[in-house]
This record gives sequence, structure tokens and C-alpha cells, in this order.
Amino acid sequence: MTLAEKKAGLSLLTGICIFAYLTANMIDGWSIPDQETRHLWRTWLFVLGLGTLSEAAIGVWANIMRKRGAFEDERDEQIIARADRLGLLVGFCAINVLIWQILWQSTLPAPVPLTLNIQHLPTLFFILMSVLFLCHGVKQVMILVLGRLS
Amino acid sequence: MAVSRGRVHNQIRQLRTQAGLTQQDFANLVGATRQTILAIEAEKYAPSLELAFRMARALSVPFETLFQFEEEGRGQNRESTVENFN
Repeated sequence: MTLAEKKAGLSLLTGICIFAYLTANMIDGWSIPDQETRHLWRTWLFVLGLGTLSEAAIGVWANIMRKRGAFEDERDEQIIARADRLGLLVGFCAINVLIWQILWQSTLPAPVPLTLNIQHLPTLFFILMSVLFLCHGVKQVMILVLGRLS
Repeated sequence: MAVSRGRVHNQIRQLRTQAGLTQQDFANLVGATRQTILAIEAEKYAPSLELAFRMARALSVPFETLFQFEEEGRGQNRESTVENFN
């Protein structure tokens, strides 16, 4: 496994853990209940802090590994760039689905099946955070997949 | 003028084993990871010009000995080039 793949694996694991924390904080059963804005602020700041800390820790670990002789070469850089593009593409699609949901809900008067209640602030918050985690997750998975395949 | 597709073949595996180098030794010599050497030898990854030259230098062979470019439908392409000149 290259350093880039190990970094991606660690980043994916920490991302899943932080997303699990976010989900546990937001979801009750299969629905998202009403929550105070203060709770949303606290959750957002905590998730942001956890994400920054974990990525910084992975960065420090990667620097230690580089001092021990591990490195990322041109193929790793190419794989990371391709994974970045795929992550962005997934984010682009997810945001467009959200836009479609907003337009759908404003066009049709009654709630339609297969639509998210994005007028509900905690739901919108959770969905937007999930899109961020989805983009990050797709990028890390693609680094692992492309690293094995190409 | 239409440019036909092609494929870059290499003789790295043969020349590396002839030189008695493992993939890791060779990777260390040229400043790449073992996985990159593996991918290049399997012709799944085309190296940059810089890495390709470093590989040729490490194996002490000319660039053309290490890498060959095979053009698909070359004869057809030549004919179209001649037609363009006429």
C-alpha cells in the first residue's frame, strides 16, 4: 500500500466515525426531530473541529512516514487528482438533486413521495453535512480503488 | 489530419531483471513507488517523460530501447497524409 492509499484509508475511517457522531446527534429512529438552533451550531462546530483535528493528525503521521522514506510519486498525484474530480462530480450531482427537491416542493402544493423535507432546518442541515461527507468519502474510496486498479 | 490512436509498450521488466534489480530497488533508483513500477510494467500506467528518462538512465539503455510506440492503423494514416499533400 502506498502512503497515499494509507492516508485515504485513515481519512475514510475517521470520516465514517465523525459522520456516525453527526448521525447519532441528529437522527432519532428514522426521522430527524425538531432541534434547537444552539444544538445545530454546537454539532456543526464539533464536527468541523473533529474533522480538522483528524486531518491534521493524519497530516502529522504522513510527515513522520515521509521522514522514514515513504513518499507520493507522480502516479499517486494523478490518482488523487482523478479522485478529487470524481468527488467534485458527486458533490455537483448531490447539490443538483437538492435544487431539484427545492423546485419540486415549491412547484407542487402537497408533499410528494420521495422528497426530503428540506424546509425543515435540521433536515437541511443534516443533508448538507451528508453531502460534504459523501464527497469526502467518494474521494477517499476512489483513491483506494484507483490505487489498486490503475 | 486525423491522428490515429496508439499504445506505448515497454521492455522494463526484461531489462530490470537482466540488470538483477527487484521492483523495489528499481523504484528507489528512479524515485518512484514499487506500485508505480508494477503499474508501468503491466502497461496500466504511462509514466511522465521525466520518469521515463530516469528509467532509461537507471538501466543504461537508450530511451527507444525501453519504450516503443505502436500506432494503430498506421498504413491507413500514411495514405491519408499523402492524400493531404497531393
